[in-house]
Amino acid sequence: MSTITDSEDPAAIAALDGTESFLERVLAYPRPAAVWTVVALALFALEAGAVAHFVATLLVDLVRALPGTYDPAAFSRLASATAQVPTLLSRETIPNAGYWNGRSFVGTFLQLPPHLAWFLRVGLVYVYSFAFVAWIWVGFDRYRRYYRAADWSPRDDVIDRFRNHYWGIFGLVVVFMFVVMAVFAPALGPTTVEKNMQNPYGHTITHWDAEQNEPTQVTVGQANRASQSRGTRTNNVAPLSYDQFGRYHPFGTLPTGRDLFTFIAAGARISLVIGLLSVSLSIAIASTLALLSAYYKGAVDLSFVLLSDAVMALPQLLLLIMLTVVLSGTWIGNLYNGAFVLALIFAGTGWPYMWRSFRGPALQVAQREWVDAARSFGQRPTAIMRKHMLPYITGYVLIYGSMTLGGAIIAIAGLSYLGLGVNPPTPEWGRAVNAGQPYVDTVSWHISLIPGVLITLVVTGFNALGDGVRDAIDPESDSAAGEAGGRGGGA
Amino acid sequence: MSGTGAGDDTGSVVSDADATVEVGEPLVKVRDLKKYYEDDGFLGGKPVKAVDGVSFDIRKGETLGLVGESGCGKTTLGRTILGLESATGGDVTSNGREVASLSGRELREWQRDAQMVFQDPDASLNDRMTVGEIVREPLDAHDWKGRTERKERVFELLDLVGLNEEHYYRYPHQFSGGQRQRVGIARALALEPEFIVLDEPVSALDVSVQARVINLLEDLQAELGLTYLFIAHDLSVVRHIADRVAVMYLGDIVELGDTEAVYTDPAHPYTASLLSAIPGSHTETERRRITLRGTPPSPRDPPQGCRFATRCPAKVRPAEFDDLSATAWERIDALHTVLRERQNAESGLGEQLKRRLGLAANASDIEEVVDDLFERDGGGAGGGPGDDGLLTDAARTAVEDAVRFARQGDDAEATAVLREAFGSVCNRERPEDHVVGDDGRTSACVRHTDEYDEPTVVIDRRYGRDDD
Ligand code: SF4
Repeated sequence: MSTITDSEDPAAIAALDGTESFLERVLAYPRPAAVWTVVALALFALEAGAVAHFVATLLVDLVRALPGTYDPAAFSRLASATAQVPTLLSRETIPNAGYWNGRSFVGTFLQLPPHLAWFLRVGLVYVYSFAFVAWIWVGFDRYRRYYRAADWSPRDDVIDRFRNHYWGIFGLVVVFMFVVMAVFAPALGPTTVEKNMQNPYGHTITHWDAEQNEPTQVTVGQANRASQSRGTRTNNVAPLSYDQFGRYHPFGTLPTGRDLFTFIAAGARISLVIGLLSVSLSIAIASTLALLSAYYKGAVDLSFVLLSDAVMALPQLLLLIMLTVVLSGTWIGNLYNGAFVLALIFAGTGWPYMWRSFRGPALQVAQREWVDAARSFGQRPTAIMRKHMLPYITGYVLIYGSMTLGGAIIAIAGLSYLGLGVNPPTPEWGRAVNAGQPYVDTVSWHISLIPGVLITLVVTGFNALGDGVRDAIDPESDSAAGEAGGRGGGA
Repeated sequence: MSGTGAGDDTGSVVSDADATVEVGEPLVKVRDLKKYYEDDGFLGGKPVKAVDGVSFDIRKGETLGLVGESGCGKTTLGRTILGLESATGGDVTSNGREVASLSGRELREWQRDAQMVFQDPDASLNDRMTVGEIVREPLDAHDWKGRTERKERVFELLDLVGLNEEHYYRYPHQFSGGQRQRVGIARALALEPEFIVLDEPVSALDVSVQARVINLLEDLQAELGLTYLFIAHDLSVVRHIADRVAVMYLGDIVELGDTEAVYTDPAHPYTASLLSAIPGSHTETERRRITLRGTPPSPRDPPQGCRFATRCPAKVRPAEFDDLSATAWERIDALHTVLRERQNAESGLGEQLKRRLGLAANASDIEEVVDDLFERDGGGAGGGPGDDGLLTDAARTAVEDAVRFARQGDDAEATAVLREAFGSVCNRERPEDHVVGDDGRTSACVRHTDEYDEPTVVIDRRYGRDDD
């Protein structure tokens, strides 16, 4: 329990007696809030164009996704307009795709060699992201110190405990880096999915032709064919190297000659979208049913038990295969390259496991006397569940959500490894592992190994984050009492 | 305060919902209220009769104390009156409203007029909410006026219970037990209720803090004209705060009357036993300390007839056994209790099967018990209760019969034999409420009829006075 310490303006703070609204408190001592807001706006402005473009394209996709709709011309125009807004972290601002014209590099940032330009861009993306998060933390800290009426809240203790949980922080950092990779996927790749994979023969690149001693044009498709990684010393583009067309490949190339890093960045996006969508749907279903179960008990609870048992008895893999076949070609099956259906199936079959984990804690909270107290003064059941029960299972929601997300990423990768799930040629990590499998013991080891290691790392990160959150919320549960995810009934 | 001299109100009627109740008139009327808990088990089983047909009035402006051992159903009674539990039978009426059958909007309205303060302020305050949010919640739930008015009201309430405005943004963790209970009281007062059920509001607090919270409750009552149902097991606290007191035993109210009258001259044998258990009190009542033997029977299977018959020091005894000594009766009662408990023991399927097949499962237990109780000289399976003069021949025959059935594992039959031989009107009839004294006090004991001696007389005769 801490009190207000080292306030810069004790007089202004002292004038407050703890009963004002947030706004009044800000007006009484505006400096920290003003400084924070200005810096936050400046940070945001750097990427405002990208955000606007993202929203616009989302709208276009959304309108397209609706069955039987018109061409979203207005939105498309908006999308292309927003694309013109310059942003700091775009490939246009810091281009890496250029060529050697005999004397210097053409088309790269500051005429740097392409690999340096690329490293600069990636570095900036991560620096920017970490700065952004750090600034949000600063904002929270300022709020806590200057503007929050309560000196102390139980959440402060949770945060303090998490800050000292190094394994949890490791998880958080890994997860955050993964999320940044997914969010900035188009800016991170040395090239784009559209140019490199979807339409390689519709794009050309210029490169320095050593034989003719002059820059030559070639289609990306042709270039890819000549830079495949197929396990022989002559037929391999290793990580951190250039191919013969002067293109830089941080993670090497795929057996098709496509750029592995671009592939992985785009795949991160797909994995994260499916994972987030399916896990949040599962959580929504599972926590709602758990609260209803715990509050009403009896017949309601029993019916959910039966329902969840029925769902758990479904063969998930079979269902997946069947639905993918049945729905392929329909509008819903094509939504986001099949990722949407996949997320729905994961959520639809996965919620009972979560529900089981939430039900125990929810039943325990429902027994607490404050729930009775709320009923005694006529609080509505929905409000009781929301105010008096939900906050006590959010911990479990975060823990299981985090761990299930890790699981979902493995599952998606596993499915595309089997040739199911996300429609090719959409990049997906599992497909890269699959493609590289014949070459694991050759010089082209990178094709399988890099995505494999990344999957392991990300899933470990999500689990570590879950562990950290659990220990922060419930300090009594030492690691012995709570093997990963095994705390369903107790609290 | 009020309440005394209002007489027996059982007949009076409060006609419609808008009628405001005068001070001293019944505010809440409870009639034949029952609350049973059904067993969830598949084997069925008997319901737990937590509250089994109680009737009383709570008069406006009074503090009605409700006392009894833990597990006697007093908390359930309070919760059922508030509509927190749905009644199995009977009515609760207030201002012409049938509370027990209310639901939806009307129930919420009643829950606005009637509030509860819980025993444990640690458990009854949601520790993820600030004190302000906690006290404001009833106002939010009932859409009371506007945002600023609510906040004002919370400050007012905090002030009323002796807390400060700056406590608004603190969390319950940051308070002491007494302060937390004040928060609970402020919350109960938020909607300006008429009636508050106080469920052991001080028993979880330090003794030093208890008095201050009790005083606060008394001040609030005087200031706001509140009516209290004060549930407690601490008899001295009740004596201090209550105008009238109701004594509860095993789901039933056995005595109800003005506090001072009940405390100085208890009418019901249970009240007498309970009061004499307070250290030092027996000098005041000039009575030797009557020990309350054993523990109350399970409310799942209360004794037939008078609930208190298994432990009653004044129980009516059949004439033919009148000459048995007090010790002998104690032993017989003890045996009876053991057999009853054996009979009711939740036994596994295997055990039940053995019994069905007539295989005595716990034969050795019963031998030991009989040995202990009647100091038998260990004559083996054939031996009967000892003949050291404790029992008369007729009594011994009955005990032997019972033990024989018990040995065969038929505890039900054994209990029946004992009840048949030593039972009386107390085991057959559920006693009615009898008016005792001249202030409308009631006591549920057959001994208040002309046929039998008054309980106090019998207790004095059986257990004697200190100084005669
Ligand atoms: S009726 Fe009276 S005397 Fe008989 S057991 Fe009950 S309390 Fe005792």
